Amino acid sequence: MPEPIFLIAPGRSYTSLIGGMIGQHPQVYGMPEISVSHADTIGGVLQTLKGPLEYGLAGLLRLLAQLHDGEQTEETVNAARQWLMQRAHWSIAELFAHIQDQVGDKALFDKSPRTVTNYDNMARLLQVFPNASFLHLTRHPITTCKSAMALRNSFADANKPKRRARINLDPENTWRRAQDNITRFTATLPPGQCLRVKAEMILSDPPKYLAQICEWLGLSTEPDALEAMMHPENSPYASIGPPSALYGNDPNFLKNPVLDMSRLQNIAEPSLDSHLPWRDDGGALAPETIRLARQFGYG
Amino acid sequence: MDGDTDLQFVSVAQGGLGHEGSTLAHAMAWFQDHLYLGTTAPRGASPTDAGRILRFDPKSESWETAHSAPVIETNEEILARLDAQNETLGGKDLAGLTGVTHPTGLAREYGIRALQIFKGKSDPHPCLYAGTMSLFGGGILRSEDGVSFEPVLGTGRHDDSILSFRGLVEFKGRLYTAPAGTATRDKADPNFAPEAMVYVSDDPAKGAESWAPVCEPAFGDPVNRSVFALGVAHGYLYAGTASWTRGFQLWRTDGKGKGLHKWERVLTDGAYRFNHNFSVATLCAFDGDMYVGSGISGLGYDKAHDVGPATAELIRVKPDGSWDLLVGDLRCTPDGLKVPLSAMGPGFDDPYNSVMWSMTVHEDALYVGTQQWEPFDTALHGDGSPLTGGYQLWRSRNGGDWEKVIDAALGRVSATGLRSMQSTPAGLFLGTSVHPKLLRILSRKSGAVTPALNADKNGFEVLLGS
Repeated sequence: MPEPIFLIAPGRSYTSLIGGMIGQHPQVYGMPEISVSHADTIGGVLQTLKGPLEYGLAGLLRLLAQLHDGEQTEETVNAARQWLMQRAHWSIAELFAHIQDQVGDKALFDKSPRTVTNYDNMARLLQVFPNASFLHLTRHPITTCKSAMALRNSFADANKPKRRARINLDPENTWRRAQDNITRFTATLPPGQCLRVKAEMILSDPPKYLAQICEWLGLSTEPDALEAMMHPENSPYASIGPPSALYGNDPNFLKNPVLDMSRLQNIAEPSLDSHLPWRDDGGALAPETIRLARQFGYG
Repeated sequence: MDGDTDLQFVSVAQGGLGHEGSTLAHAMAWFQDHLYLGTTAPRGASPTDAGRILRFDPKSESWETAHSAPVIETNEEILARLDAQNETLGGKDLAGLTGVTHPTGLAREYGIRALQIFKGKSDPHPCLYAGTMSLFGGGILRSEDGVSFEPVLGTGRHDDSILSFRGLVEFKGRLYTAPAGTATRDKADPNFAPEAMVYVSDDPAKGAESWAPVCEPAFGDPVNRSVFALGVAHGYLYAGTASWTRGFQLWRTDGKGKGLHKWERVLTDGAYRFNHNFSVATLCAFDGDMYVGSGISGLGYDKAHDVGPATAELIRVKPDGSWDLLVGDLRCTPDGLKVPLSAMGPGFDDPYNSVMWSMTVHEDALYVGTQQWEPFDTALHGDGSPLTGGYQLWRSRNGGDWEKVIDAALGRVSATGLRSMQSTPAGLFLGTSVHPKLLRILSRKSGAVTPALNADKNGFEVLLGS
């Protein structure tokens, strides 16, 4: 069986769009965000993704519904939930093996942002798949944070005052923590097991850079394969799901998963000392953030 | 790789050849059947910390001093520059090394950073030119006979905020150089010049007036903070820059025309590895291609600009400007996916190899010497275990297949850098950077000092492989 591919990046790093494209390669099975790397067993996943965090289970439910029943409906999603509850003792490795059995000889591809919230999550994936490939996607910290705040505000109660970023919710801290986790983890990998690439670079010319990613992964770079990657909207998961599993990916992407090249080719990379619109104290990026951003090719 | 005779290395100079503060065998040249060695005493804090040019006769296996910097009276400005330099070099952590005070005199130059044989218009025959490091302002020395050296560019005759000149390179009958380092009362930097520039002279014996700039400052891109290396290959002069924000750039020119040359940017953004390819540390032509070694200031981490830890890469540029990654990080680039052809990651798979510090061609093979800072890391942060590591020497006949010729400085852990190399009829000379005294000081907390290190003598070593 092919080794899986994990896209590791903080949320709001164009992971949905780029992950959606990679997931459409004919030799790849692009999964929704299955968010299982933080637990050892299915039971652990179910215990942690509940209550206000239950939305995190949507990707896995949609995946299993699709694989088991060929469609994602309220009924099939509920069946998937039952299936999971009956196998709470399964290890994550067993779960992955089951998914792999369902998709055949395609390489599993996951891009769950939860993976990078903790170093151990990535280490756990590596333990299960010692030869997995890790694609480290970066995006400029300022535009990442602006995107995060826009999404956060879109979910905020319109009747309440606009939320201010508390220190522990400051999107810059989230970006930096995730990147710290990723760089510490990837430093442990042998040469070739991880590829770091700027999302802005990929989106400036997707066929050119997706072909390079395919070359790294040993996937076909034939024109029909690259053309398929230009249509993330063809994924069965590139739409809003049934009520019990609405998302499993970026809601904005699910509402409009078609590539808009005219917009993507004008992505800006602001100066690292630019005004931070989510801060009301006039503060600038922390030196630690700037250090990482420059390492990734920003500023 | 195809087998050939292994080089057997013997030590031909130890202990800084009479001055333990001379920790750096900085530059080499083969001139009039002698090895010429430019030495540096990086502290530059006393009259005895003098830059010297020493020469070795392989037949008699003897050294003699061809030049030692004269002592010049200090003044308030120079002492302020010295204070700034001490601060840059580590301040109180290093205070025990020389007991720095405010000396009434200092060696005019404390280092010889570059050596080059060149025949200018006024030279009766090829002469030996030397780029100096000096708090009074870097300069250039010239010698016709190899035993007497006179300044042809020096104190007070140019911008004396320039610490030194390096990369003395002959190209199409002219001599090129780049300023390196800054020496002012407000700023001391051993590497970054006040401005990234390249200068040329066709008659350096005529002094400062003979030199002219051949590029726009910073090549017109302010991210280029200094020119760190010059080299010549396949009809081009190459200039490698340093940038702590974006990573190095590599430029080249065919040198045609008068005035400013027309330059072509060959690599940018640290060859798309960004600022972890902090600088071009060394350049060397081999088998028709230009080999580019990267590096970062400091011990793998540039403290002043908060870059790193980073490990060095090796890149090959072909005559058409295309390039291969030989040793380094796999990555996507506008020029295609770059996979290290050696199948080795940065630093020849050793994260402590922070600089590809020297390169030369000897007997149809390319040699690369590294700076390897593992001993410093263990001294500062170790658990008391004995220090390990030391410079490495690597060799290749095709750029893709590499073999380690020397590991761990042949067992001398205090030898952390291979700074200079010279291929000669007598064999391959290696000039090292040796720091047992500094390692002993830095080991005070970790307790990593061994009897061997305690007995080790400070100062550079020169090896001859034959």
